[in-house]
Amino acid sequence: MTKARRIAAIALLLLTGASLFAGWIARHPYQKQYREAIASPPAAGFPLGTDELGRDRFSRLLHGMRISLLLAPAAALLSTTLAALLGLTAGFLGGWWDRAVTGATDLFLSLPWFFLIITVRALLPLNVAPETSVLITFGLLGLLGWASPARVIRSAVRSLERSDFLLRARAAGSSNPRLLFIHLLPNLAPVLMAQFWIAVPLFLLSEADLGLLGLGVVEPLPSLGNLLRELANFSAVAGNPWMLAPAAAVMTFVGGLHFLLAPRSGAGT
Amino acid sequence: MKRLVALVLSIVLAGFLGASLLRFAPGYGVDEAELDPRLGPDAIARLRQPDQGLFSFYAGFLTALARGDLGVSTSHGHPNSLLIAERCPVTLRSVGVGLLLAWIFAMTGASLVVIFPSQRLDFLISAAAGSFLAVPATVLALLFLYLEAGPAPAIAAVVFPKLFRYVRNLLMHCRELPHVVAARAKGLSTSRTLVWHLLRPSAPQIITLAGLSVNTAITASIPIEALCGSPGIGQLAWTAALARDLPLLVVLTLLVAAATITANFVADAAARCCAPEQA
Repeated sequence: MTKARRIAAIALLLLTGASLFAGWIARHPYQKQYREAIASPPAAGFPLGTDELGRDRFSRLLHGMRISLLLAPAAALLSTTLAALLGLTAGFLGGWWDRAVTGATDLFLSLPWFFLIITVRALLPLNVAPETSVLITFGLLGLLGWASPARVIRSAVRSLERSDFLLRARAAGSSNPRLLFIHLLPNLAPVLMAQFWIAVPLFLLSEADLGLLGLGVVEPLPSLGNLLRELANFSAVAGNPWMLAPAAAVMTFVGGLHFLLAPRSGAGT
Repeated sequence: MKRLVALVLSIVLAGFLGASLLRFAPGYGVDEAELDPRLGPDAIARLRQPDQGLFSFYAGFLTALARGDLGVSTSHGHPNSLLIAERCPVTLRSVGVGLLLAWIFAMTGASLVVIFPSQRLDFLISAAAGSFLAVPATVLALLFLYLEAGPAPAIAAVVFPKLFRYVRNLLMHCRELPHVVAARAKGLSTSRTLVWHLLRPSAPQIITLAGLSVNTAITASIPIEALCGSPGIGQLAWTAALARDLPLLVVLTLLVAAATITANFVADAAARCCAPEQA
């Protein structure tokens, strides 16, 4: 591992660790208002100051990171599982099912991702409890993000279909479920892992965009997306650079993941 | 011809998807006026849309679309076609300029990296592209709004890193091909090598990427136009989503899908013209 990759890995570990132990690290509850300290600058009790409602920004950042950093991988797992199910069966069974899945994939990929997300999000009630909004936001990302990985997985299955080991297993009389789950699935593990790790930063960025536009996780629950809404107040940000902390957290996490996942010959993109 | 049929079929399928979204959305056929406590059951029944069968609903929706009747926006109270016609030029301009800027930067960056094979230059440009890739489109929109640059450069900042990465890798791959090595060894000028031996063979892939970049730019236009206050299709979609204006949102999604499918079709056809042997 190169030095730069090691730094990226350490940064990711620190961020993830801090978000997982948010309850221990943060001294104040994320929703508690300190009315005597509205929009205060960083101080001993409030490392990142307080927001316009007097809530501790540091605590909200850690808890917001916890929600985003736990649920973006959960959504990625959901989308990769869906994609694996569809791609695997389409590539293996072929015929009308393959054509149907390929057609649906093409259609989904032709719809701009964010248009699709906000259209489907608007179908569901907007005025919901914060916990429900978390489930809706990340559930939608997981359910709608299957198309691109399904196409890759289907292609991988089609290429494995012609491999010697599968031909031998078929000749030895292996049943279809055995061929699928014992022979094909383990060989697809690297592809599935790659698709999962590609989806995580994409979902983090999508959640950030949805949150900043008011279509993501609902207050008072913090998430990286809705924490970014403070950035729209330019006059406040100009004098209080610590308000950029949520943006820095998103960039560090997404940039770090891109850096770690980039091929070794790449220069960091 | 087969591809043209596939194009039409995709748009019709997108229409079915849009109609399904409308038909099965919670609250379909319910008017807000029903909440008026003064209304009795008879008045509410008169307000409610007659429950059409599924097939007649689809047929009605698609026929109306084919006739150019895009319905009426529930939040604006105006015909959707009027709203879209007003805002299309704004989006076309910002997406067009954004794409142009993104392509100029991506092609220049990738060409520089290929012409001057220096690890430091490659790292610098790749790191710049990588850092843009790690920033949410909304934050980029706010940054460009703060710089008073407008939506087009923000769209360019979202699209550029994706284009740069692909074009760079493509040109880097071409640079190692035997005929390019031979051309360089024979002393061919850098510009001639770039244009005739790197860009020309990569043209089909680059044209295909141009089609795909339209999708990326349109996707980026929603958060960017919403935050930059640019009165385009993206901002219209955002306000429609906040107001749960499904008729408008579904029509917008269909139009955008039709635009991206057509862009991909045109790019695909152009790529095939450039490399007929791959067709």
